[in-house]
Amino acid sequence: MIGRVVATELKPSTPHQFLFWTATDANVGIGSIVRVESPSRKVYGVVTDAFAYSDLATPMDAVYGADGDPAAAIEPSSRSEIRLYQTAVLRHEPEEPLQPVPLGEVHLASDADVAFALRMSGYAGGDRPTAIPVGLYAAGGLEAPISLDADFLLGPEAAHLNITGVSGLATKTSAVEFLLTSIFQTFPAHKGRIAAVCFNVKGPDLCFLDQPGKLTADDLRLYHRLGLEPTVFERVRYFAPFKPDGVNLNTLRTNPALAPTEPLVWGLREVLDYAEVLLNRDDVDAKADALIDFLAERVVGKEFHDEVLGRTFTVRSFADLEDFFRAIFNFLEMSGRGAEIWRTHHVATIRKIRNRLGNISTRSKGLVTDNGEVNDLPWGRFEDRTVYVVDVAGLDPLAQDLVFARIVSKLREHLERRDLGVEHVVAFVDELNKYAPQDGPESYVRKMLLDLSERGRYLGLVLFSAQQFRSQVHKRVVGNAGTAVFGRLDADELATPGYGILSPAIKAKLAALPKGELMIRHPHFTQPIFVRFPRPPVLSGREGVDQYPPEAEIPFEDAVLRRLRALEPSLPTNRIKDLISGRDPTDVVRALHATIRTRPDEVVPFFVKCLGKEVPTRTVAPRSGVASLKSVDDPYL
Amino acid sequence: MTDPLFFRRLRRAAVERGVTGASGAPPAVEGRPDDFRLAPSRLIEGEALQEYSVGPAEPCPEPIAFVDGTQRYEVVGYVGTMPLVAARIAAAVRLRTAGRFRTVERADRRLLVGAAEALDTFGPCPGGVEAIELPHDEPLHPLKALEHAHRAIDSCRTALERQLGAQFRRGYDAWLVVDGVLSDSEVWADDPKAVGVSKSHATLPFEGESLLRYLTIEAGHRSSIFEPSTWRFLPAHSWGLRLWDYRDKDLFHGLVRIEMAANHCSGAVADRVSRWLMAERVPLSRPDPRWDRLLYGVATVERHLRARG
Repeated sequence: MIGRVVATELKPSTPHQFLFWTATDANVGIGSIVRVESPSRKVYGVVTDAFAYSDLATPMDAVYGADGDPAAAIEPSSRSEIRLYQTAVLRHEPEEPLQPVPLGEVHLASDADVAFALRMSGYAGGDRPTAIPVGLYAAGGLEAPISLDADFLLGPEAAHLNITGVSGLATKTSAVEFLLTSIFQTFPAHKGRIAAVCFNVKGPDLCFLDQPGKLTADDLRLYHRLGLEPTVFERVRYFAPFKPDGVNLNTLRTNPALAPTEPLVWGLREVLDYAEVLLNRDDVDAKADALIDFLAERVVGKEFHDEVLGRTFTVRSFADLEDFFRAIFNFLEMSGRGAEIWRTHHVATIRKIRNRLGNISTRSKGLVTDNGEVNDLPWGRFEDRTVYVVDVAGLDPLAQDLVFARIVSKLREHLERRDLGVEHVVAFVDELNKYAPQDGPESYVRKMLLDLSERGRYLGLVLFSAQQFRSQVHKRVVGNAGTAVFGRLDADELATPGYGILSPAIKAKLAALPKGELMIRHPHFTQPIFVRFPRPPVLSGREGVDQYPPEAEIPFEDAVLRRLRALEPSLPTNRIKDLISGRDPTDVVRALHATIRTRPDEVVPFFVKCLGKEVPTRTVAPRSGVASLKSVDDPYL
Repeated sequence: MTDPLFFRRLRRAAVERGVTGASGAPPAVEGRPDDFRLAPSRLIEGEALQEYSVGPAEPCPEPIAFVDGTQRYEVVGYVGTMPLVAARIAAAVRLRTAGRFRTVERADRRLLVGAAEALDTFGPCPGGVEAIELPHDEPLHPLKALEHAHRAIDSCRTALERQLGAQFRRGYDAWLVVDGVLSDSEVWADDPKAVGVSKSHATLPFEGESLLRYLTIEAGHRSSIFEPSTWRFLPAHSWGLRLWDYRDKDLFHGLVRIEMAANHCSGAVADRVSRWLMAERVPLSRPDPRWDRLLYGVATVERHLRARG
């Protein structure tokens, strides 16, 4: 026993909170879970605030007693003092009738008490357990495993997880990596298959999920206590767009000792479906929409004959599209003054759409190709317990938005059709305040994230998101997250209204939370719970780049060779270099992308075929023409 | 003794047995009857009453215990005109070691006090309640009978304190501070490590010029040692000690009378014990109105007993 419940007329016990006092050295603190024992009922609670005071009537009495000299205040008796803990009720036993907390003995909760108090007993056992270990609750020398309910973390009952905390100290990325480890190891078979798509938005954060990190003995003990294996993700696939040169990958994971990163390359068709991403609010009007729809349905990827222009177009790339637009503009210019309409579309609308679409091929060069080649995530062939990392850290913000929009939309489409290859997908997005801000103009990505947070759980598409300032994220996005995780928080952030329900002591604890500790809110927990979790079993981004430094950008020919060797490691260097020597880089890149996308058994012959025959060119000197005949005598010349 | 319904139950029992019910509490239910008088003492130290500086305050380096008691009583009914008084008395010894207190002895009693006739009318006492019979030689004014009851309860409480003091002494060698006088107790009158601290000045040990000098001792000073004339078992040695400056307050402000066993008290001992008691001025025992004379250790005993009901 560590204490006793106290209740007075001024501070009575209620069904939802109570006070208890302890000895001054009792091993109890903010976040401790306790059990109140009385003959008629047991009550479980979590300490949310603490008070200490002595029998000193007023501070002035201390001054008076010491004659105003603090140094002279030698008191032979220590004043009587109290440690008083305010506790929020987690659960009553029996639960009905709901009554005030009795004046009983207070005990620190045992493992079984913690499981009962947090209602974990309902989902941690039985024939179809759905518990996902998330960390250890630790207090008074006790360590109790805490689990989340997969039905409420990954759907269908509730879903989504949001984690917030200051950069560097809150261990947001580590927490998500650990939780994904836990999910992949414990996700119940009866719920189907699961995969994760992680967007790496800054530096090398998620670039080494397949490499083991350093774990301490304490980390290993925590893994053991949680019933998890401290092993890296078995299946991880990395995707990154090219740099503008079209051959070097735009990622920090380029060390040749690592499994290769796959290129993420999209063409016009892939972009056009998400053209709305490229348009700002002012652009989104019915006219622009109509033209984009027309292009998508009638022109792109098809043979399109226009009677007005009198030509047949086959638009498969941005280059083809540019040719198409130019034909329209030429026609309108040739038609003379007042000709501003082509097929009911005003020339200004056509110019706007042309500029926006042209913009993407410029600003997202490397992601979007001009030549129509595509290399994408394995839609329809997602594998169970596989992480797909999409590295967008080096991309222009517009291109990042495009990547989010397209990948999330594709995930949703495939999950709706049940043909993705897995039944559940966790999509992890860091820096959520950037993509779904509370303020600022409406954007396609924000709408998409809102839709995902509100409807994703029915599809099995779950958003794991992280940000430094929860208050700056759209309320509906964080509000729809069934599970909220908090690391160390900034005092300014804690002062915002969203944290008003937390006691000052909880806020103080959050402001000084050490690495590896988190506060968790989950639908089954009636109060936030503090847990410790081990370091993830994978290399952190910083350790990863130290151990596997990214390669310096390499010359065009070497880069092509490396990309092809990723498909067939034994390719002869000279053969490839000879093949591409002197060839137009655009042709080489097109052939390379086609080879990567196709993954042929015989890489070199396929590459050569895509490259085509070299058309020899020679410089032609300007001809000297025949001298004109002129005579000053002929007045008509 | 944590039964908050004690008085109410006795009162109900009294009514059920034909006693005229009463629910008023007499004034000063927790005080003790004081007779105000001058009782000149024999001077032990020096030719005339003087004051001595005791030197800077210094905490007692040894463990020290404090003994005190509390009492509470209420009239629960009248048999005829004679009051029946219910009382709860308690006492405790709290030992301080390294600044921390712990209760080492504690006891309590429940009493029903009244004249024999009144107690007979009431009948057998409920379990755990002792009947205390008052002498009833002549017809008494009901309020005088109440005063007698008060004295009887006071005596019972003092006896309980002494009982616990004796129990404590059998187990501990620590200094023992008694809230009151030593000389009327066979338990403490010869105890070399017992110190009586009397806050009450109902009986003053001098008169005339000496009394003036006694009541105007400076803060941090003590009077000459004297032998009070009021001892019952063994003569004690006593001195006045001013804990706080009395100027602008009251002649009695901060003045306590200290008693020790006569065989173990010298001027040097009085100075040393006085220095310890000066150190005991803090922590202040406010908000108790007697804070200027009430040592914190004694106050904690009272608070402990009151908290236990």
